[in-house]
Amino acid sequence: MSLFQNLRQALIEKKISAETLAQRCLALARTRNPKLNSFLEFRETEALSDARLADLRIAAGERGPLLGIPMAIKDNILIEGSQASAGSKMLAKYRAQYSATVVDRLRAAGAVIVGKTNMDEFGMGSSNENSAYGAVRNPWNEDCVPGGSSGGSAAAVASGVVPMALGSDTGGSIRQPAALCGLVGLRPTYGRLSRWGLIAFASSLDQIGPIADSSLTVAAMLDASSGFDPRDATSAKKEGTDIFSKLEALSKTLPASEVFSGIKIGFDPSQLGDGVDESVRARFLETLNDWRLGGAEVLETPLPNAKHSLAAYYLIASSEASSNLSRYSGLLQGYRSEKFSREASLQDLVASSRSEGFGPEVQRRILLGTFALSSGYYDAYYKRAAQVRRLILNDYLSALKTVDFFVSPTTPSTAFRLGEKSASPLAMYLSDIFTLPSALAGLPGVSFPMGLGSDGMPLGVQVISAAWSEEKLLNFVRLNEVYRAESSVLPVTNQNNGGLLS
Amino acid sequence: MAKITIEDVQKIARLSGLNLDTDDLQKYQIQFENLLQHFESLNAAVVSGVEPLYHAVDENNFRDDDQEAESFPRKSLLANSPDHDDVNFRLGRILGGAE
Repeated sequence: MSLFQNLRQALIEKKISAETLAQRCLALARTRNPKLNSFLEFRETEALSDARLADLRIAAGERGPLLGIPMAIKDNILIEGSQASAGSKMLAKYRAQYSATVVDRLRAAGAVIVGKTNMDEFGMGSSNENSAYGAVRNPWNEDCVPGGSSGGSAAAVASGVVPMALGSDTGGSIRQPAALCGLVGLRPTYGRLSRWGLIAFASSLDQIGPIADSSLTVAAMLDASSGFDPRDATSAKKEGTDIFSKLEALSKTLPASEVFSGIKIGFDPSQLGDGVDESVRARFLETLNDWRLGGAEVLETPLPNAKHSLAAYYLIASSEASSNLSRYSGLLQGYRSEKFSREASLQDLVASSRSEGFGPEVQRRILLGTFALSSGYYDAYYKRAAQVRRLILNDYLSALKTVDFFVSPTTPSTAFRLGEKSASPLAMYLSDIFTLPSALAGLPGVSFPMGLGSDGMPLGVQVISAAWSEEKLLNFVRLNEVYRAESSVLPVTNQNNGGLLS
Repeated sequence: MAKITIEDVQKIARLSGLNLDTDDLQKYQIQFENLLQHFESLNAAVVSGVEPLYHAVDENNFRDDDQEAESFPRKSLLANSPDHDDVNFRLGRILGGAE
């Protein structure tokens, strides 16, 4: 059973109160944080108050899956009264004036938010080394990165402090850290979860989603937080999902050879070439074989334009970032240069504040985006990238006519060492190579564990499906968890419930 | 291949509202050339007649009728500003130099 299931059962059976659980969770988080640096803020008073409310609801007979369950929230998602730094010095002193819709909904479902998690600045990074508040370390090996940009959320879950956290995914920032930390991470269909209260990076790509210890937890979080929100103009006019109870009812009744019968799975062999570690390739091919033995039909399904994803993504995301981040000027909110004097020109004040407030990766992407949008280069870069984006979407639409799922490794390697890729932006960007195409296409994607690499670090497999088919995706992950032991790998620190129930 | 000069980086920095020192200008010039060289791969894609995709889903940017609603209290908005006098944001001089 996952940590989430154990905690839920203990709460329902009143073996522990939500208040005691929140206290233990906060104590554990404080103990582990000096090494991992996964939390930027603890919400002691608010968490205990929410936990007491959850206890009253449990005592009154409520049984919602998230009642009393502790969780963490990435620091680019607003909670009224809490900090929301987005990992940036620019917003070091910023306190949220309102809560994100997803936060309101999760709290209404009884989740207890214990803290805000570290992240790459404004979501720009794949290793969580780009935080103004220091790098996050991977609980599996503290010399390695946890992935990014939702690295703090992934490390918090993998270290057994909480069973679930919210992240955000612009080009892979949920799925990549979930893979590198041995967790389940879902990027929902674009528009499935409201972005109201999410600090913007690249608005046509940003999507909030869960990182958790199992598909059940992810389903419960998605059910609680999805659905139309009139405050987000890109929110889809759809009902919230209802997946958790169906997954919970799934039990081991099928013979091994029929578990995946009737499921068609596509993959593109050309994606497994140069740049993909041998142990990743080998483990992925073994996973495909497992599915074949379970009755699935595995087909070669080319995505001919996916090879252009990295270029298209960095041009589009950087262009949108250069526009979104223009609001940080040192004038109305956020950091203002300490060199400022009232005699300086407004232009100097803005440039000094932005240069001191933004870190190097954010500055690099603002510059790149400004270049791509500038006169003379717009058609050659931004417009062309947007045209290629459509070709990538068309590739998926064509592939998903013949297969239920498109699969790949989530990352080309296991977690790399801190500092290993810092010198080359391109090498760092390539660590997102598998997660970028579906982000551009707006499709839902999930990463879940596919065992360990040759270095003993976790690996993830990524599954993409048609828009709005999260139920089908999570059902597939649940089948893997129930029938295949490799799909529920969790770090040593998360065994024995991380000490939360002892 | 796009040739990026130091002057190009300087111009982009000005448009971006960023100050870059000489070391930064040289660093970004090299990095941009490397990145843009990689991005040249987009030229291999056949995009003639392809409509750009700016949003991944069709259903977006819907509009509702305006409705009157309470705004955030002035005090809470000013609380996040770097400088204020309890009523207004305090900025530098917009026109002219020191008196």
